Amino acid sequence: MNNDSGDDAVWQTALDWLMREHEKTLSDADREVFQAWLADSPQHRRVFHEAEQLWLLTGLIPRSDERS
Amino acid sequence: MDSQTWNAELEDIFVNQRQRLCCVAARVLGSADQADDVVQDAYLKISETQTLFVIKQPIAYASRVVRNLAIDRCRRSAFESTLFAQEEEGVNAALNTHSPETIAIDRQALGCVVEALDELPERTRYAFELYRSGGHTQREVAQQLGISTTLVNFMIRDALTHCRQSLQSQTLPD
Repeated sequence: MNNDSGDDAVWQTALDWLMREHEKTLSDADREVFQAWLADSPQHRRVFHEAEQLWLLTGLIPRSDERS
Repeated sequence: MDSQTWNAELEDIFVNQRQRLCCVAARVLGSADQADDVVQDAYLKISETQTLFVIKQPIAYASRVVRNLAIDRCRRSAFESTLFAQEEEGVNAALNTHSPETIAIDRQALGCVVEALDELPERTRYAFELYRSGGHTQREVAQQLGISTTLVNFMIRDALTHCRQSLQSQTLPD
């Protein structure tokens, strides 16, 4: 379990941005907020990068109905 | 399918179906420019995943990986074109080296994520699959499953967080 609540909050925010990017719901103004958030701290960048990498890995995994 | 057969099949798909795969990428990218590049990237990544799982529908699987990578590339180019445009070199450099695409697939991490996804409740996993690989929005997934968008949002977070925790516990020293 991850008991670092600060890190968890950053992780959840990173997932927010990831999902919004994926669904292409970011306006230009949102992007600026997103950039500001990333620029805000190395931790934000590190955790967002972690989320992106995980996202990439999940895209390589076949759906359960395509595996045997 | 053993790894040799899978390799042969994979090569066959990426040679004989290349046109089709490039079309998949081009449709997402909106142009043919980077399509071949994405297809090649998909080939390299898939060849590293071999033996981690047995694929029943190799062409469908290859098409979807191409599609996912193309979507990710669009997402990132939109992101990078605006990101830190006025920022100092250091930040840009850090970001570029961290581009997920340049990172070789870590087989161990991938295996860990496969297991983590399999551990999820079936409905959570299905919702995540629809979202990640079915190309559906949270709202569409919610409609398809007859549940609320909020719940779908939680399920996707749960899925990714569970994967993250598995990866963390795998890399943490005992």
